[in-house]
Amino acid sequence: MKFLRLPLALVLLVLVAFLGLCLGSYWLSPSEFYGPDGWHPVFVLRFQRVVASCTVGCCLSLSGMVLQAVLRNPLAEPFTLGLSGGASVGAALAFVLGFYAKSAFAVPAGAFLGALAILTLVLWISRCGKSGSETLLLSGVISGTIASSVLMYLLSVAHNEELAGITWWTLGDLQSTDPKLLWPGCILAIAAIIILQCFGDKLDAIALGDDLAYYLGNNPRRLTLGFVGFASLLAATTVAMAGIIGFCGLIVPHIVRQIYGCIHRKIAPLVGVWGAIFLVLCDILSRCLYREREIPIGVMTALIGGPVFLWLLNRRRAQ
Amino acid sequence: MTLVAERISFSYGRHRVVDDVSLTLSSGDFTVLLGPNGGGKSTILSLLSGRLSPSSGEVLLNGLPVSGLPGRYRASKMAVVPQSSPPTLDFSVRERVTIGRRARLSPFQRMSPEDDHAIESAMSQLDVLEFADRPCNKLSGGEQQRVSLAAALVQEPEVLMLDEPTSSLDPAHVVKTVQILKNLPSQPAILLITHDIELAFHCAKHLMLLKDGKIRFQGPPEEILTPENLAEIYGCNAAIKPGVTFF
Repeated sequence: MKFLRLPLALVLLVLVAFLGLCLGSYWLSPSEFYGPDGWHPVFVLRFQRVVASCTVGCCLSLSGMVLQAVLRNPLAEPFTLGLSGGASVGAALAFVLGFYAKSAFAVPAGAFLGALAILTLVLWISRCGKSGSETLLLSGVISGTIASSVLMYLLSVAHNEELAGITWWTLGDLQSTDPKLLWPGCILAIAAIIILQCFGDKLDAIALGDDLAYYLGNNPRRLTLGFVGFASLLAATTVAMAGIIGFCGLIVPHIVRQIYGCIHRKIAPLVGVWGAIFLVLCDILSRCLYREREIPIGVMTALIGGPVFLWLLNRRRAQ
Repeated sequence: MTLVAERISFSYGRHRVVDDVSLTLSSGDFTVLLGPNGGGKSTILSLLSGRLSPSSGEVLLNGLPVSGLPGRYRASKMAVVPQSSPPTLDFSVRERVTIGRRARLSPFQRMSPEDDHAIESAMSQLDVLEFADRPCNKLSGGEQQRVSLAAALVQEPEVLMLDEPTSSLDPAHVVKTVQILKNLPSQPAILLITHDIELAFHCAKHLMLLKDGKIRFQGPPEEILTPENLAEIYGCNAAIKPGVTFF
């Protein structure tokens, strides 16, 4: 039955994605998807949204999986290294400096650059990973705190319209993902699954600790840098596409490991697909639970992810 | 297969931990390193494996500097069992041993039936098959040591270095582990670090007594483990008592 795990998850993803196309502020039946005038406009919007959810969910989960292994911390997630703080500052700057009105790419680009700037700072503080995963983690926490302070300052000087934009964006927003970012994001997600399948053995080795990783024929420092850089790229891409969405990168790899084991070569595709399923489901709920005004996706993932995570922790303790 | 350390020294800051140590490990050798805490034993192991680079001297594996060897080649020739530290993620015993085997393979190589057989055989030898699906980090210290040993044996190394691999084992498993190590079909060169003087006496072909980073005495265990030498190394009276023994 092991070989059926991925196909079954893929079938479930297709079903959930199909639901995502039909459900929303109103029911769109499959017969309405395509009419004499071409694709239904609502279908087009929902299709883009489902693709964005799949891409972001997949990238966040894979990024979380990599960081949990490299930092040897099951509670690590894509934003543990302060990337969310950096991205928020980048996006907030795009709002406050007025770039958002000039180009649709301004906010995603600002977020992406902000995340990469924080990553550079984290790596610099931790001497490019030379000082071990604990220093890397602490550097991330400190950099994130500094970024939060800068964000607070930017919020205090922002005008009302900018303030609303920044707030909505920091809560996660799949509605306004730029369609031009969708396909590069999709390609990155698929490439990430393939890359992590190929280098899953290395991820297993580094998860056992720097010394064992070396004894198993690897260069731990180079691996740490490569994997942290790769995970950050995935996280920064999701931030550029949909803002800050927490919990997905924390709980999906966690649950997949508990069900399917820890060998990363085997679980990378499952983590990616289950991440996509999780986020599409959360997005459907965020649209359907309160139809007057949809709930931000970041709020929904936290509302679902928080209790699930606590349940997992209790289950682990009971075992 | 020969691993040679030529006059290696190493310091942490100004503190010299290993001082002008030379040793040779060849196929079939069983060398035991004894010495007090902080004497430099584990640092010597790190230097021999290439994990640390000596500040002077060099370590050669078959004539080639060990630190410059390609990773997969190094992992197929040399295995190290470090002092036990359980993985943070919930790797099962079978997964942990499989990771040891995969170190020999390229990223794109699939596991062959021989690889599967080697994994089963290593787990069976070390009596870890019965809890093969349990997470390593939920095992007792002794069980974890057996898993680490199985993961190193499955690499089928030509040089096997072990840092206190029996410190948490019960006497029966200490005896079994020593028998396994002595009877490995590939006859690797073995370097064992231990604090167990009796274990060292009974399994070493060659014994080294280390203090303050220097090898003070070396030779056959029956010649080296004298009360005088032990008193000089440990600063207390100790002697091997002939008679009833586990070994």
